[in-house]
Amino acid sequence: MNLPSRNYQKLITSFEIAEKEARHLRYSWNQLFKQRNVDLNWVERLDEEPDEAVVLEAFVSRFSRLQDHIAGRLIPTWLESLAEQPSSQIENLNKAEKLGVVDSAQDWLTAGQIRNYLVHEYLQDPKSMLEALQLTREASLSFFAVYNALREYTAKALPDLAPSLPANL
Amino acid sequence: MRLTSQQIQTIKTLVSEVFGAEVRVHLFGSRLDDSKKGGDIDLLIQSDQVIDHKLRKTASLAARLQLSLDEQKFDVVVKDAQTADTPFYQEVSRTAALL
Repeated sequence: MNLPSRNYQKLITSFEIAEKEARHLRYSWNQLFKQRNVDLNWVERLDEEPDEAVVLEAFVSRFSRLQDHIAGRLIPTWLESLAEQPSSQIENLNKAEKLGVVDSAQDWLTAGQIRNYLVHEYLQDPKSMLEALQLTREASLSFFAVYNALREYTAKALPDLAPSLPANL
Repeated sequence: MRLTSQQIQTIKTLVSEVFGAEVRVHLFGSRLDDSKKGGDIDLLIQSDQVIDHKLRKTASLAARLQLSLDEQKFDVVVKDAQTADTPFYQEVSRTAALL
């Protein structure tokens, strides 16, 4: 097997970062949605419960980081390695949707909008906050699916790289 | 108002698809100022009814607008029958233009 070229090294590094970010997001996801009952009452108490707010903060931050990394670095680098011309983020998402690794570019962008809401309208309206959390709960799982799909596509298209890629989620 | 008639048509169509035909959509913010350039497109959606799944619809509309209008930045706010009439909404309503 040839050693991965420098260009491919960039792709492997980008996968490694995504895998770490995803594992940490999954940890926060479990902390929030498996170990807690996230309902309106929980959201309303956040203002007086800084320890709970820290758990939320970690989740939102990790959610944002993974989404930014996948759309901003992993997908463009992945497209480059397939000899596709990376373009604007929306073009890249549309291409990723056509290649079958992203289910819906529209849902991906919707998740970005929800994230903006969580960051900028923090604790303004508990009902919307709860709705945002329920939506990011689902969206996190779709991010993991995108990582797995990108990994699988890469392992098939560039089999020499397969042993260097981090594990599936 | 710095929006083309085609952009306005796209906005109205998508708003009606996501929120239904009975809501009103207004433009506010810097796009009303003809002397400026670029900038976010700020939209106010108004309804006399209570809108369910407000956040999901708002986010979905912004995403569809991004896809249809070449990734301009959109800021969508929704005022329904349950939204408190804060100074923010009073100011927006005073200046906003119905599309």
